[in-house]
Amino acid sequence: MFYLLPFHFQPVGEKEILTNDLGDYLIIPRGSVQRIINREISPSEDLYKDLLASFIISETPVPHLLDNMATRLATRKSFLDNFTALHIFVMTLRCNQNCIYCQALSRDSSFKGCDMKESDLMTAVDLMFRSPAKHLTMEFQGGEPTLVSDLIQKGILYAEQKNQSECRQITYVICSNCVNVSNELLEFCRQYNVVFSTSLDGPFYLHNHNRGKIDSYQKVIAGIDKVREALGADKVSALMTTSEDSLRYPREIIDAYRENGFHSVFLRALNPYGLAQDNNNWPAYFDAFVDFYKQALEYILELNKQGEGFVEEFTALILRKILTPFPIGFVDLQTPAGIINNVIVYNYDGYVYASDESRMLAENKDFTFRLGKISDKYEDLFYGRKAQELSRIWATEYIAGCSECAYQSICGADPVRNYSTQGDAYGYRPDSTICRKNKAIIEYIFKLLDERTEEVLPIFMNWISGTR
Amino acid sequence: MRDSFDINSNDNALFTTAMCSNRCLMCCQPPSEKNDIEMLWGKNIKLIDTAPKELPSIGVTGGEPTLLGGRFFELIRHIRITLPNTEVHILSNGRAFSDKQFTRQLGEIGPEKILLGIPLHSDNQLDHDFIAGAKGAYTDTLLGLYNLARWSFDIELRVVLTKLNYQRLPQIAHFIYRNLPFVRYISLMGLEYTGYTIKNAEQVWIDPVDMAEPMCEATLFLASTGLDVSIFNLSQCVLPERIWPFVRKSISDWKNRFEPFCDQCRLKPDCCGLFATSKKQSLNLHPLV
Amino acid sequence: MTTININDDGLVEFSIDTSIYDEWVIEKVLYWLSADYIITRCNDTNSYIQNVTLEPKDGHCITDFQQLKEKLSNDFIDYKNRQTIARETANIRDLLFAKAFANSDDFVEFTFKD
Repeated sequence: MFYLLPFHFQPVGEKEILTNDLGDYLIIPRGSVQRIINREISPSEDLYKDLLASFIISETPVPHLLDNMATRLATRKSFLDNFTALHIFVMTLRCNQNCIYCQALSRDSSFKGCDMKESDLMTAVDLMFRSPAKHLTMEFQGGEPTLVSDLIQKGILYAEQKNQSECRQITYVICSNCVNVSNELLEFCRQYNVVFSTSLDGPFYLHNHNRGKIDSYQKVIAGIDKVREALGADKVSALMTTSEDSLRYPREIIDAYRENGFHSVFLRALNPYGLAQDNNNWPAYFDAFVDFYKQALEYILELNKQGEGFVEEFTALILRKILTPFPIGFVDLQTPAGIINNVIVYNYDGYVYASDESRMLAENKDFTFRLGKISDKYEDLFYGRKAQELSRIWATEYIAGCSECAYQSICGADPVRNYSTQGDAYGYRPDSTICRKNKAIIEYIFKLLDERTEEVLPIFMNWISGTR
Repeated sequence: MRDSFDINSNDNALFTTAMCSNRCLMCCQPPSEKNDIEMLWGKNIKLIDTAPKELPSIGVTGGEPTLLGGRFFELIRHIRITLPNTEVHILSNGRAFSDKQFTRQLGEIGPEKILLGIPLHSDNQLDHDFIAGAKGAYTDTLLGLYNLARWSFDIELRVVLTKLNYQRLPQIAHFIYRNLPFVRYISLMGLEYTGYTIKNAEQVWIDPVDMAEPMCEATLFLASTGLDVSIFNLSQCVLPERIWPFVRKSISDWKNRFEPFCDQCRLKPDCCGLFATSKKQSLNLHPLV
Repeated sequence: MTTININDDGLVEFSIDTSIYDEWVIEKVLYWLSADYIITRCNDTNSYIQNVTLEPKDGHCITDFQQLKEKLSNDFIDYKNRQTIARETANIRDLLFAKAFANSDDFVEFTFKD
């Protein structure tokens, strides 16, 4: 006789995937759950031992190892202890590129009145240090933040000064199109170990097409080279966005990354925010994205088998949640959600927002996720009424459609995404594109782990240890 | 047992008691029921007091040393004070540390220069308890490991490889990473053919070459997680080459021997050798030339 | 569950024995269909039977009726199993989360460090 421990399951073809809150998983034949519930598994079966070792069943009503289980659950949720680690500073809305799919509704570089006030910047740095996180990331965004490089330098210098007594580990990131970075800023970045994050969509024809320009690719590559030369090869990372056109070029995109000296790619679907909202058939797009993802991943696995270490970052994040007992710091795959808990945005307009997407909504005059003014008290912003309201709907463990899902501890809750795509922060899973996409990808990764273990596990373990 | 410690030996140990709370089927030092704590105490204290101050390491073994109860802490404290620079390597089944108050007492001595070697026989309680010959052993040991980790003790997790657990080695490896990622070292240990192993040979003995596949899978997985995994008491000639990098030259100097044909082996200088105490060896030993 | 039929108006009809599948199970199964169908439910006054009708929403047509039938029959069984698991483990799960989120034990606080 044995007792059940909390677990969830999902049938997939001839198999069932069992998961629990601790991060254990088993992939076993379809019908096993019925046998477990009916107590038809005998101790002589290997499955019985697997179930015991994976904390799916217990031989006592209250498991003797409950304290250990609680430690493991606390470890999985320990990202909460650190609280907000990623602090995004939207320095200006001005940009010198103006791409067609811009998600931030940027303004022309000559536009007035959309730079962050210096006093707000200083106050925001003060707020950042109120977070208990030992490791802080101060990320400068825009628009194009290098257009106000003097402001960036002031912010970093102030943080450095405060950190003399605070002693945190701070990572500085500038999200830039790298088109017009001055030598002076680069010298400053070298001195303070600032890294760059830029945007590269793939080969020149695709990158230029996505931006509606003829020379954007050449400019960004030249910019990346310039930053690398000044700061070091590993000081620039790139993000890609998968436009509808990109879907046809999985290999070409990865090759473009390889040719330009990158060893990883983050296959990122379009966000239904800002200008990108004009796309009208999102379910079809996301289905096509999943196919694109699978093709790209297959190609990347092929490269790894040939000895070239190349990582797909989104897969690595999912794998870290599936294969390790540790949490991740990635905002989109957290429960409770990453908004406020992991990320906060200080916007050029003098207000604090719950996430990057929240401030983009604000550009469309929707201030739902505005938490307050930068000048407000820390407690009122981070623990205020809005934060409390959000906390009632920000965990997969208790929202409809997620609360029975087998992937609830791998996936994440995202009230802002729900709101912007469905008009309701609680969200409605049956036609949620993010649910559809994440489910398909998580299921695919489980399938690879189950069916191609020997081939993929060493590669995947390598990715995990390279991305902690 | 010795009368004094030799600074050049890699095996200076205090034998604290022959009693044990487990009855492991492959125990190389079968426990006794006789209370010998008092009898051994004085001699151990003398060994500590006369040991060279520069002694690099000292073992605390048994039997199960925690059966000394309060005197266990007295002993560790005495070593700590008398030999402040010596590493203390305690071999325990870890069960006593399932008691938080018991662990607290060791915690208050402090984790510096203390390493606890604790065996885990399986990923599940059925197999572990069966191998340990004691019901509740698995639960106690796992609770104990977590309690020791709470006090930041360095732990060497020992998996003794037998016929009873080798098939689940890959599962054991995954279990260790998920549940015990805080351990400092993981030691996969070949059997010494002595003690209970002889009596239970039918149940526990397996030629190392026959567990090559699960050994490889477990070792390479653990290594890929970044955990520090080593293989002890097994020579390269009975293991697949892929896991040779994890083989350690380990057998205590005083019970180490070689076969005559080992002289032809190019790896002899790096080989752990054979237990002189083993009444039987792998049938597949051979020189690598 | 009775036979699942599709009637002349293109509506999917079936009945559920609520003594086998209770409200919790029925709601969870129908929730996932509510994006594609307008759902009506009606209890039979003299029995445990609940009648359910699914009317395809605009733009959605039943491309594979056989697939829908299989999905329904699997979902009812799976959600009933999920309910059993949730019921039998609710207390342990509460205890587990309470312990994991307790501010401090009577002991040293502890989580794994990567």
